[in-house]
Amino acid sequence: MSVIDIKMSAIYQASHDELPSEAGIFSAEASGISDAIDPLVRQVALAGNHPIGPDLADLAVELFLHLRSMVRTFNDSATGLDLIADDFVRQDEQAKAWLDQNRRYLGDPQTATLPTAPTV
Amino acid sequence: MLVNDGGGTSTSILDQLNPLYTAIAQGLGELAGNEAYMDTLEANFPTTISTPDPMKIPQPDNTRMFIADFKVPGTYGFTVQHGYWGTAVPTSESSPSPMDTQNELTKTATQAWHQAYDAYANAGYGGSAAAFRSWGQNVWEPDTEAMSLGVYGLAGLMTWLQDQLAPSAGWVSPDNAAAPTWLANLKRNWPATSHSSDSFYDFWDDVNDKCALYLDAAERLASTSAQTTATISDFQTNLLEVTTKTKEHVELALKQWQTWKAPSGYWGTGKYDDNSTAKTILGDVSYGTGVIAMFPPAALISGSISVVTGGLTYLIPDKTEIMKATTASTAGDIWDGYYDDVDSVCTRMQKALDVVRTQPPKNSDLASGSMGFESFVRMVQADRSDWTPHPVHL
Repeated sequence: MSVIDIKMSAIYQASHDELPSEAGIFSAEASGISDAIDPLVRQVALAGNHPIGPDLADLAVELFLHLRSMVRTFNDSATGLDLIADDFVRQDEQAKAWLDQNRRYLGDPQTATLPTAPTV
Repeated sequence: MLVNDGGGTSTSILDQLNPLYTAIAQGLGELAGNEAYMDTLEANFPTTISTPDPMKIPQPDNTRMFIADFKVPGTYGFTVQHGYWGTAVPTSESSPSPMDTQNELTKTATQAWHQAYDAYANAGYGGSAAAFRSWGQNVWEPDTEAMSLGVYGLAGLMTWLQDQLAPSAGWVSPDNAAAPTWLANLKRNWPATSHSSDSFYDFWDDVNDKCALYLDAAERLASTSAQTTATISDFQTNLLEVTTKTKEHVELALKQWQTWKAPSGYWGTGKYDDNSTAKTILGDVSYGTGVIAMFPPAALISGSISVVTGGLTYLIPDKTEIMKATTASTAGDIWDGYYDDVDSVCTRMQKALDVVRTQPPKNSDLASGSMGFESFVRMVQADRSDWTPHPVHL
């Protein structure tokens, strides 16, 4: 592999494979928080609206927000790296030739769907 | 993994309470009916100790005492022998015979019995059973099985966050030997047109540090959720126990009526085995402290305890209040006593949840172990910017 091949492979692998994969994992865990906390807090509300319910919801939302920030950062990093690589392809014939042979990296990376927020 | 005791397939608390509510309502109706029946007989011919000797009460001429068997209705019905005043010698065909008077008295007393019974068993929509459901709704209504599924989910989040702290998770500098190959490759081949790679590596290297903070929060969230679920579940069990004892007590009172054929004041001493000395209702503060100790995060991860049934063994010595319903004898007093008992269960559950919310976990190895849950949540909200991942500017 040429130097350009190695460079293009490293950038596209990060932007199309590794970062979206991490984003997906964090997104699933963040959605898991919503799946867990929604029924919990709804049921606690039935126990006389005890204030521990809103406290549980508040902490779950904080955790969710941070994990969603992680997802966004992974997604944005993937998109940013992809744009940089695409820009390089437009300027460099060797880079374009590499992409022609690795067409699965054409287009935007499949970024992770943002997690579903808690409704409580 | 956590112990799942399969509570989802078991009968719900309300399904267990409903037949008890109906039995109590009908039993109180029978007690009230017995009281009304005897009141009717006593109004005609008083025999109670506090009233004058019926033989000394002036009666119209040509009236004398008769004694007859009166059949008290109900599932726990009985026949009582009682006196009544009747015409000694009928003076005309229209004057009532003693049998006529007895029949009329029987009819009036039976009507009084049914009216009193209906007031408890059938009044309004669903009778007393509907009121009982309403009194304890804050306790029986939460679905603790649904809550426990949420706890299991949060325990899973804890495990995942713990995994992120291991070096093998790869949240390290690209120069670190534990860095994933693709990350090291990326650093060697970072595009020159990018403004800066540093912010990305700072972000990446910091993920495990952030996950350590999130783990602390997830542990508090999961363990407090488990404590909350266990508290509600245990007080549901307590409500069931209190209600079962009330139903048994009502049945006992009805059997006393059958035995003594008279109101409670005449029941033989020692024969009425009420369980009034047994503490039945859960404590609040001591319960809350206990349940906090029972559900540390480690227990959730090791799966050594079930959040739905785990507290039951702990609770046995923690019943601190004597029931009122089981110290009463009349329908009205048992009704009032059961109301107070259910109110006490509801209030104590709220206070136990107050403890879960405010008291720090004991002997905790959590970084935030010195803080109560409520304070911890406020701190996390205040420190939001410190918990936010590093920004990346490519």
